[in-house]
Amino acid sequence: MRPRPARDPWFGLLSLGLLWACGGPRDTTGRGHAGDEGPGASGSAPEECEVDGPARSPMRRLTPAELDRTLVDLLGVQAGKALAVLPPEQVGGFSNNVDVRTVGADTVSAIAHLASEVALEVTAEPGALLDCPTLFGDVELGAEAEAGETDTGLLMESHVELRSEGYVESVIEIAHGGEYGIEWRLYGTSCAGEGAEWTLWVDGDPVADGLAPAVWSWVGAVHALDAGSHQIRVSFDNDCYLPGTGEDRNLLVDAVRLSGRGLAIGSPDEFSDCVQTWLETFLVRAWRRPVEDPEILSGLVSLFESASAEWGEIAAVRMLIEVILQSPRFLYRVEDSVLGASPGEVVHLDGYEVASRLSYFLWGSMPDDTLLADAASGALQQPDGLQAAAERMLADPRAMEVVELFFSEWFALDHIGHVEKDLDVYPAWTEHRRASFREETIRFIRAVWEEGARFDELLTADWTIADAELADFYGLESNSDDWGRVERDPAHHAGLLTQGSFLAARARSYASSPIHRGLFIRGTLLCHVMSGPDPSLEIEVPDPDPEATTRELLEQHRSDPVCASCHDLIDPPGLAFEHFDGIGQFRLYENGHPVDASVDLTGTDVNGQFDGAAELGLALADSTMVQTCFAQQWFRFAHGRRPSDGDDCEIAETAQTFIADDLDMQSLVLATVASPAFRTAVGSP
Amino acid sequence: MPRPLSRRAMLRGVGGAAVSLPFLSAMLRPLQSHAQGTLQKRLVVFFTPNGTVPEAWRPVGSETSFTLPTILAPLAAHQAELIVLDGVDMKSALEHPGGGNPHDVGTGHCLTPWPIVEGASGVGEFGHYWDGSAGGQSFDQYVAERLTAGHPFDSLVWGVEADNSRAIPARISWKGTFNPVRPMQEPAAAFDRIFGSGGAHSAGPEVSRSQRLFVVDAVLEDFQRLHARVGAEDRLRLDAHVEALFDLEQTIRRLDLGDCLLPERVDASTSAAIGEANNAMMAAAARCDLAPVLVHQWGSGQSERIFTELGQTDDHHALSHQPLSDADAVARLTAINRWYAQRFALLLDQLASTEAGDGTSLLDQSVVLWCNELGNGYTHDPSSVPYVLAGRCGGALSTGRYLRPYGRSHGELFAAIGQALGLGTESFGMPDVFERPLTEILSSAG
Repeated sequence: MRPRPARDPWFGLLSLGLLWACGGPRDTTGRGHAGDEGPGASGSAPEECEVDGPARSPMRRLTPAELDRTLVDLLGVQAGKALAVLPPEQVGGFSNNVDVRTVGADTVSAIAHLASEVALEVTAEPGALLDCPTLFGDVELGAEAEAGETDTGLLMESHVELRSEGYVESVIEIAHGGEYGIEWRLYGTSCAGEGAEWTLWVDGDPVADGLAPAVWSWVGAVHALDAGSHQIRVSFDNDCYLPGTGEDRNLLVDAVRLSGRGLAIGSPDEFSDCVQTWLETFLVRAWRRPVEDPEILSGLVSLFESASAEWGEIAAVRMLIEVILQSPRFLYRVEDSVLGASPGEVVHLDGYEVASRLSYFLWGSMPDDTLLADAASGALQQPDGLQAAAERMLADPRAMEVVELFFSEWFALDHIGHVEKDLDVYPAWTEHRRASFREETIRFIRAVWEEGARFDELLTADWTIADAELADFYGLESNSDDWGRVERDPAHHAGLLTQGSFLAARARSYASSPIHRGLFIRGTLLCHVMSGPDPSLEIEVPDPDPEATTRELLEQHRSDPVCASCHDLIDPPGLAFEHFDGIGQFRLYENGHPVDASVDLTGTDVNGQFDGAAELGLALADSTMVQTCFAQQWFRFAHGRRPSDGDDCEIAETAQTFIADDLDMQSLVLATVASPAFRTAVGSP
Repeated sequence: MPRPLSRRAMLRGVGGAAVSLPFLSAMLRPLQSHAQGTLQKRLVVFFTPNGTVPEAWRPVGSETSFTLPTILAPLAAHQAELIVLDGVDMKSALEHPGGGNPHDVGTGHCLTPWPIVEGASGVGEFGHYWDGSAGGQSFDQYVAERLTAGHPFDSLVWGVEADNSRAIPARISWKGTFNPVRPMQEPAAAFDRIFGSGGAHSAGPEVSRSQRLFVVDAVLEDFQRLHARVGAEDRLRLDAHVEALFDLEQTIRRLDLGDCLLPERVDASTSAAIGEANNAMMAAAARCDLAPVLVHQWGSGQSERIFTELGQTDDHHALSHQPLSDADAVARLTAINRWYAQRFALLLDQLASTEAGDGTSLLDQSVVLWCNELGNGYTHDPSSVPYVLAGRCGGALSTGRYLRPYGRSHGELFAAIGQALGLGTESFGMPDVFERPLTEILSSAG
């Protein structure tokens, strides 16, 4: 090792050896920051928390997935509309992190497009949407073709015959504007092999044309008409007469009719009343709380009125929905209770605000009617009522989707989808493996969650869920071709940690990687944030010895005390998995040498000698640091942000409940809801 | 020179007081519109990640007579239109590295030569900023703000495989602090936004431009009501949202594609296909003069892309850390950078093959900047960034040259590009690393 210029601090970072100024785990006891073996390791009971509230209460924007589900629940549209136009964004692992980048022009445009598309769809039957069926109706108007309305036509008994070029016209008065089907009943005769052409005119403008059928038929087009009188004309423009053969091309016109479906037929006052009544109930669901400011309601009604005057009531309803769906009160989770609070002041949320926190935490969507009723009754502001609501929601199938989202983001499950393996080293690797590993982990998590939800099971299970093909890949016995429970090697199992979604994702393309595996355990399971390296030092990376084992290669850098200061923390938890190669298959030998997976774990509250994954998994599951870290991960997911120092005390309290309830993860979720931070907000600086 | 005042800064108003929106609405709409038929200069930015292999990138020869080596060879057809710049450092990153990972620092400073600002969560694993921000308005957005008049978009930013999980190493374009521009990575959605039927965001022919404006104005009013009540942190979020709504309003007002030849609407999923679709949209946007600034970002800082199309199984970033003695790794890195040069060549082909009138091409009108978040990939060092300029910028740039302005800063390069674009830029970036604009790139006539 030799000093290097300060401009080159990351030399060799992800090759075999590197130097860290190791950071430390977050101290979640509320007494200041931990060192490498900080007090977070002690697991001692916290003092009563000084401040019963969160450290920060930023306003949260609905994630694309939340927006998608909310549109489904609010308006009954098909799922997938928001996800199709808004890409997910993640900060620090969780896609619901509020400290995600701000909204830009492309997102705002996509939201506008989405609102427009949804509004158009749900206003297809505006009478049903607004629950004012009598204000909408069908209109049919018609007139016989008469001689006085043609220029050159010949009035026959019941129709007009255009024998040379000319037109037939009717002036029709309509009471209600809207989209009308405008049709003439006519037929044509042919000449020189061509039929008669008709053109439909409205108020002097051509709007459609076509070839007249040879028998009486209705032809025309759909066209928007304002209330008032309109000049409706059909013209004949390709006259032809062949005296030799007697062929004569004529257009025969009988009648005209206008038909409008679902037109706005109420009076302006009736519409304003209907829209106001509808808004009073719709907004409670759309904005997730009753609108208290009467000016907001009257503002929306007058918006509707001015849009109606310009574009008609149906367009105005659509535009009103577009405005509501693009409102900050729809797109963001506005908590009015804290808006007026002074900086640092902790305020209790009202029932509706708690309802939204609950529903977006547990369902990833808006509150349902039961929850809104709980909000209105004040039940959610009482511990019992809050607990009952959370239990009801957790038992609902919608919660399972959110639980899966938590686990897949916590465990960085997407990672496995991107790995590539060197087929010369791993001929058993196939493209299909990535999806298969992912499926295994999701099914395993679901099974653990539904059968007791024990956290320790995640890290110690001696079984997994596999189909015959995956079981075969692992060298395990399977009773069925379908996905089902499969027993693992009793000596080498550690739940999630011996699944390919971890082992193959945290590996090189041609080898295992104890460093990547160890870093994952330190970061994800122990919440140990590794800070930057010492910028003044460089590691000389040795050329790999192809005969050596992965462990032997790592020993080389750990013999240097400076390297060892961090790698003693990182490498041991990774080396315990050396019985699993770079694609997650079990091995007893590497390069002809027997695998040594015995490790000396340091920097935790369960330090000691462990041999292999099963022993390490047991130790980690028993670690208060790991258990507290898991509580912290649920805090992040529930609050949509990384914790600040001021949150640590509450996280520690939540962890205590979790530990006291035998590591029941459902109990942890309920404790997260019950913690004061979930029911309060703090005034922004 | 003081830092340029961003629109965000204006939004916040003098002394941080919230400015009421109707006033802003007037302020944000440029008063003059650009004259049709005059020469339209534009800035095009192309980004690729993880530094280069200098030995395989650096041309051989003199300023005006040089050979392009392995990595740059795909640009040979355009050599007369290039300025290859060897030795320009991201000095603001060298002098103000903060506590960050070099990829974060390099990406944050890439077009924004000011120190990075930490976010609420500070610096996390590997020295990555969880939620930090570039230190101000990036150069492309500085140009966008000044050349936007009359255009339906001030800038259009596309991307391929840009990470959505972190702000700083995934964003090069910043409207201002904590307000990055997300690259559009879904060609079909980008098409709909830019070229959508009958203009911006028509859900159908029955939704008229005046109806869309009515809705946007009502939404803006709604935001204004809330804006007045929220605290400082939330106001930052609403500011960005409101600014974006103003952008949308401008787009609706101004977008008139007329008889402009549109690109195909492509629903691409492979990165090569996305890149090509983006290139085609960029050329069309230039041809139709929809925006004065066009950006194409390939990957993010610290890209972990695996180049399976080159038969590789290790990711780009991991490869860049292999020892230099690993000849195989160096060969693979060279192949990766050459592959990126081919993407750049495709963009130049598109611009060069499109006529802009008077016998000139879109490339003649433009200045295209190829940038990176690092210089030498192996040392992860923001010095000697492999910058390549292309296009004559309406005659303002003297091209067909290989320049070695060692030790000059990228802020100085940006100031000179600003001058080429007619902005009279005298300085850009941190003053302590700025001496004078890099006018060596300018033609004496310009």
